[in-house]
Amino acid sequence: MATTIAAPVQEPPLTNIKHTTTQESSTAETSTSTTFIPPPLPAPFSHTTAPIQLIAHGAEALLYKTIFLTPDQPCILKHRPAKSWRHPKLDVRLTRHRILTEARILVRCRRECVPVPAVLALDADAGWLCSEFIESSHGVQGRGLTVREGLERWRKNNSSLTTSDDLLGSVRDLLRRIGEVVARLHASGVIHGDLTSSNLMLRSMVRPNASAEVSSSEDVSLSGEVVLIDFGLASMSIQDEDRAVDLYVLERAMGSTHPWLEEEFGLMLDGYKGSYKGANVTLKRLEEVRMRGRKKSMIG
Amino acid sequence: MLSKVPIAHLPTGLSVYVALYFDVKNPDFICEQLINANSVFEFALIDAKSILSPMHLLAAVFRAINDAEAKRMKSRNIHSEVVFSLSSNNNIAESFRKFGVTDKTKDLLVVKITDSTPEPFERLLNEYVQGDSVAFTAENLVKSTDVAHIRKAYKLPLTSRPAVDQPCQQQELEISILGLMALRGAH
Ligand SMILES: Nc1ncnc2c1ncn2[C@@H]1O[C@H](COP(=O)(O)OP(=O)(O)OP(=O)(O)O)[C@@H](O)[C@H]1O
Ligand SMILES: [Mg+2]
Repeated sequence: MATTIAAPVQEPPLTNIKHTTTQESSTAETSTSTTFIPPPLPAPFSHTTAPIQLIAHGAEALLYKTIFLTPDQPCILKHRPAKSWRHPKLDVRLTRHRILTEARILVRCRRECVPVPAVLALDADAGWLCSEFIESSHGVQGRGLTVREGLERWRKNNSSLTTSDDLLGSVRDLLRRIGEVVARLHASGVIHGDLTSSNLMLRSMVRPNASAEVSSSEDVSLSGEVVLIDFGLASMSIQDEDRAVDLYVLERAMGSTHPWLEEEFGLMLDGYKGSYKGANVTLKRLEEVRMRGRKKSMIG
Repeated sequence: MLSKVPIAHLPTGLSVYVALYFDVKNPDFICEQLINANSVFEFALIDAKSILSPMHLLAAVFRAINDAEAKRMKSRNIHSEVVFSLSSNNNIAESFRKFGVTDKTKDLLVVKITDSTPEPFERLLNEYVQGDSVAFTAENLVKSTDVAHIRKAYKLPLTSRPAVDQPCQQQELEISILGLMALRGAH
């Protein structure tokens, strides 16, 4: 499992795409040297007149920010475009399966009061899923705020602090809240499968008349509600092994992205510990998983 | 009074109109038109008590239009598909019983999806529906909403979780419903 944790990639630039009815995909304007030509948007977004902007593109999916039905409901459109190298029939089936698995798990989480984006609509055949946009008053350029960005910005602003400082309080509190949220996820029978600080967001109230531009890239607060996103690799399980591996992946990912925080990670587990009945068993198992991980990396 | 409801991402040229009536006097007559498949009188006719919010209704409209465009409607036409899109399962007849107009309907929601002008439909409604036409707003709609009926229709009973404030409970119910509607037919 440990070997699957890739180094976190650079956040892609915010790209504004103008969509025409003929869907010329070369209309993407990029501000950096990387010219990314996104595949055509799926129906019905291919002909939309509503604002729609690409905010992230991974290996499997493209993420757009747009609106659901009305401008007061911002949403994330996750598009899993067809893979040309896969057999078309198999490709449609796989895409369908992934969209529905992710949606089912999100709906389940919401019913169990686990903080995740709400599912607003989907089309498994066309390969898209619309979910609630997680807003942050500290998001820059209309984006939300991931825990990763939050921690990186916080560190930049507070670079003179040492780990023993009281001011680390808000970071410590955040780590504890992350542990609590993961525990609630596990208690509801769900394994995330890709817990990283980029797959955790901080939701905070956006003042109605404050435009997105107001928030600067320095200004940050870690006090928002922790929301889990990106359930593309999630599954249902109540096995302590699966839960422990989920935590281990989080620990390793946080360790490589935020090495300055390594000594504080125990706080995540503190938050996890008290939050549901099986938590202690899972934490015992985590120790074993860590040992295995260490051995594996020694053998190479 | 049919009013145009702007919905994002609609196919070019297509418009959605909604009318809301309080205290409808002739629900049995309206039901008859449906049973006789009166092709002139083609609307989605919904019992307003089964609708929680404009977003709830419009999400069903959005799904129906999207399914129609993708040529995978399960019912007769786009208007019956709107009623079916409110459902969390694949039973079309049941969706009509739960969400559609019945001879006991008091408040009526009417949806028209069309690429032509609304005036002829407006005239038809004036002719067929006897009731107080009111604006299609969240405030008016909530006067008709029967939350207990909706919780039963979607099998979402109130849980014994610690009490949360009213707006929050309504928000979660709406989100649960949208999720169930989106997942209808998932296999
Ligand atoms: N619901 C949401 N609200 C706000 N922003 C979101 C939301 N979902 C995703 N984002 C933004 O998009 C980014 C990427 O989203 P996500 O993690 O779902 O896709 P991905 O990383 O491309 O997928 P994968 O990890 O499978 O490659 C997030 O880091 C976040 O900035
Ligand atoms: Mg991600």
